[in-house]
Amino acid sequence: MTTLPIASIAETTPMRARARIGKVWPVYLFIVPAFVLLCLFCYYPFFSAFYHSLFDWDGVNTRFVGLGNFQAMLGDEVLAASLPNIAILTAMGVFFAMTLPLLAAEIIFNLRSQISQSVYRYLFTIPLVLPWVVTVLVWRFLYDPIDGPINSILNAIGLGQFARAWLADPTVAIYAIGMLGGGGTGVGFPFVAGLNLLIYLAGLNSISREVIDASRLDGVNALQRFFMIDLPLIRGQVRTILVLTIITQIQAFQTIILLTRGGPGYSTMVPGMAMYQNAFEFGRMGYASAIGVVLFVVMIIITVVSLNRLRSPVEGDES
Amino acid sequence: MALDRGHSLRKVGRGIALAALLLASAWPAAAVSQEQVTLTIWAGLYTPSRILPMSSDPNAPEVIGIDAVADAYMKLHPNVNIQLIANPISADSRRWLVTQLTGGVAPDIIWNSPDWAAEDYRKNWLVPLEDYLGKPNPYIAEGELGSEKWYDSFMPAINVWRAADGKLYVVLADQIQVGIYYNKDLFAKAGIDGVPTDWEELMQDAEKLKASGAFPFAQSGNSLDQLTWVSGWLTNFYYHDKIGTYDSDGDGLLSKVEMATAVKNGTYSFDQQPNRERLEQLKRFAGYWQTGALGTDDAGAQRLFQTGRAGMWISGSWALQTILQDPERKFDVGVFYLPNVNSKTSPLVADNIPPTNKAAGYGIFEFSVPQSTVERGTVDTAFDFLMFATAPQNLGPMVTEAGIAAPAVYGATANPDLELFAESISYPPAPLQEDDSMFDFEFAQKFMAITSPYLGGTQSLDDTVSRLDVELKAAAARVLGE
Amino acid sequence: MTTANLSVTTTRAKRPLPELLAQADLGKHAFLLIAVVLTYAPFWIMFTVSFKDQAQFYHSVWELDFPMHFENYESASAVVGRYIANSVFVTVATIIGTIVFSSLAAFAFARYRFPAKRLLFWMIISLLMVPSILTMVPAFVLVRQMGLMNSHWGLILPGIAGHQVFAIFLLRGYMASLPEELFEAARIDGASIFHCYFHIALPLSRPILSVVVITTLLGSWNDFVWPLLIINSDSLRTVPIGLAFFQTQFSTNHGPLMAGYVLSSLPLLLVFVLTSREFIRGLTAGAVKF
Repeated sequence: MTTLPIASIAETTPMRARARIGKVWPVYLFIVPAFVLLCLFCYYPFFSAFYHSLFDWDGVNTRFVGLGNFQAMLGDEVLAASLPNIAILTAMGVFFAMTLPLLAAEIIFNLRSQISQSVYRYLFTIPLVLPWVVTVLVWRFLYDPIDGPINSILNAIGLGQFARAWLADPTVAIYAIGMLGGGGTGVGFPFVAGLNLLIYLAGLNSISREVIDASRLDGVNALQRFFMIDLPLIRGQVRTILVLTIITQIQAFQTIILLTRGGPGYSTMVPGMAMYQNAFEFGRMGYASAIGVVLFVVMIIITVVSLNRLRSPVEGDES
Repeated sequence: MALDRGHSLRKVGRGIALAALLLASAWPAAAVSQEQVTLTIWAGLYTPSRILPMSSDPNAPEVIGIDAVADAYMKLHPNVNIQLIANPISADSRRWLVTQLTGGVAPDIIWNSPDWAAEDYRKNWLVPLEDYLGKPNPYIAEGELGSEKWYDSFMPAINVWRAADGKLYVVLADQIQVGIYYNKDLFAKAGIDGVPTDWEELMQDAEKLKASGAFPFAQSGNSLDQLTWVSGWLTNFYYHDKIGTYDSDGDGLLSKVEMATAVKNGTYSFDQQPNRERLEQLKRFAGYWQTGALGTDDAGAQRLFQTGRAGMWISGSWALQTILQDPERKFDVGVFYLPNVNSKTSPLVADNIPPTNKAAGYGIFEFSVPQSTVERGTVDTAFDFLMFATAPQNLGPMVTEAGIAAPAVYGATANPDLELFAESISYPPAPLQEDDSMFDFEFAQKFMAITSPYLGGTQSLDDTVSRLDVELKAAAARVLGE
Repeated sequence: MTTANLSVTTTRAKRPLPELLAQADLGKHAFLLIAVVLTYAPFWIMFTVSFKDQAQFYHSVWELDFPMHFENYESASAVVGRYIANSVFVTVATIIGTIVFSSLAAFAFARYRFPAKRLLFWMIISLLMVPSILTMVPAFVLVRQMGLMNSHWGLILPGIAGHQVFAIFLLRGYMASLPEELFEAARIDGASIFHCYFHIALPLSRPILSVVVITTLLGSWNDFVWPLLIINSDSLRTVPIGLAFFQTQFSTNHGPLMAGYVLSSLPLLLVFVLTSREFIRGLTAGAVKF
């Protein structure tokens, strides 16, 4: 099953001439293998989930309840608690994804030495293949209220009053998770490494050299160039990352399962965790499917809205 | 399936084999198929270390677990091949069981917590034991308990978790016990003499430990068990006088259905003085937990105790060997049972309530046989193996080697280390085992999640009570099948 | 490619350019180096702790303590070793399947027009929005019905299905940008559709294929929720589950646990080192965007 932390939707149709085909049917053969697997393991389960969201289903017995599951969702305090949490995690995730890797990309892009650029790019890509679980476990240790370095350091430098039981205090736990990178398996603090950086760099690198040089000649300083040239020209990349981040964060629960399982109380509960719990611990699979359906609808809406609002005025020319 | 084709042949062959064996040996294998059978077993804590290393220390002693019994059985029945599954018991076990049972691919014999089995009975995941319990256990010597009826060989603890349909789903052949491990050195340093004899003394000892600079309790506030045991223990005392009214079948045990009915009738809820006080006592108890306990899991709590920084750790007999053999432990350790609550704590609690066995009905030898074995044709073999394994001469050595539970089968030898728990094991079962998992796993999780902010001081008692009652009613409805 | 029309006319006194650049670069390096240190800190800890015993661990996590306990790696490999072979098999099969199926489909979508094409493509891409948990339960029941429980194919087939969606998206974009002339030339010479795919599009798409390989590799190798549900035979377990065991069994002994994590990341590092250039080229091609 895919746990890709990335997703995307529509493609902008490149306006290139394409061959006209006399006989079309062999082309369909090309897409058949992919579609067979998709129908089997993606579409069927997808529609099955929708179907079962109308039932009380424990995996074996089904009992039709119509919209009963959705009604129950409205009164479910666990889900109610998960909404502000997911909003916080998504906001933090988006903020971090929009700032730090972009900043780092700009800086790398502006380095004089090509070698330096390559080296940093390499250094920041390697963490992709290192186990994310390690980062999470190490952070758990860092957050440990008794043995962890964070509190030890705070105490040592006299800021002891800020020391908290980071993962045990319901008022800060969710933010502690957010600082880790949210619920998913992406790269965490300091958020520079990873795919986001590479995507931004790719976008920056595709800006024509002439534009950059012209701007220098015109006396534009770095900051102005960033806001007036770079940013507009990498709008596509920014939009991609925004959408990917939102979609990932909304579904994510892997870190939560590892660290807090939604606790203490419901302070780190997220919809994904609630779905998992309902399906695989409580055996309420119909209800879990209903949660998934709602999540899906929400994600579609958000994605469509984000894409529309960020539609670049210069469409179809991105290469 | 091959077994179907050979079915009639099997019957004839069985008859001949039975006759031959009856004549030839003292332990006839009565009901086992003579065809090649593979039996998969998830042995839980009896999994040998060759399958699932219990420790990363390469010099750790080898744990044989169920291997000896399995090997003996395979010698007796060469057509049976036993395979053990490597799967640790963890917070994830419930999920593992649910998915395996839903998928119909659970091993032929699975470790199963009896309260879960009592909750799941409607899903037809497990084979009820009744038919087999009524049969003679061919591996028990004539004249001994169980030779006529397998059921006779079991101590009463097996009945604690009878499901609402009146059936048993878990073979319980040993008994664990909860206990409070304590650091004798820290106790001495805090000026505590001996061990507390009641709840008030326990709280006072905790206070002394706190004053001496140690953490009184090493607690896992973010996982079930520790909290729910203490919680259930307290409830037994606060509701001692009401037990009679809830116990509609008069067996001295409050079953899930009885409690769910009480909730439905309104005779049990969190918005009652005894429960309110009980929650307040829990909060008092929580005041003595280590910093950040609400986010700590079992492993973290255990580590805190083992490194000598906490005075007490609530655990049980299953941790006994780990604690005793831990090379990191530099202090003298002892264990005492949960102390009684009396009127010193609250006028609602009578004095001299006789102590009861908090963990009655639980063990490590808790095994169920999934329904899928019927299709697979392995059900008879599975039960035959269980009969073999629970025969006292086979069970005793296994239980003794593990050293973490006392036998729940008559005539089996016990590990002397368990003497520490022997007295409390002999008490009658507590009427309310764990009032929070009394209903179902979901309620247990929600109880923990809802009381967490109360224990942490960010939620009022009133809010806690009303949130708990909402979940209580939902849980009761689920138990009663509404 | 848009060329922005610049009409910015700022003329302000500036410091001489070389000096400005020199100063700024120092700051840039400082920022980047700090980011590198912070990024690698957890992995440094993973490395140092992997050589520690309990006492050393309680003493410190940051420093490399001597003596170094190499036996941690022994205990770890005894456990993790058998899982690596499984992970390799599952991941390689998933990657091959994904590449084959998705490149075929992407080629068709990229370079040909046919009825219902737009609809079919949208159907594929919209699957990216489906939360994996939504389909987990029915997929689990389906896998059971197909008899794929407790088998590697129960991991591989759904894995290919899942990963090919993003792969099709990536490959389509890249293949669409290939110059038409190449294909025209081949077609004039009588090349079949398959020839165009196999001998022209595929070799030229190497950079983006590397991206697909890496993302599928990561997704498949690191997947722990799905294998946890499907596999229950120890002989078939994959690395993340093996490491999860470590956590449960040896949670008080961090040395072997971290050694296990180091071991499990070596195969990935190897693959990355071998394909990194193509991978970065693929991303730099600017194909990943809307």
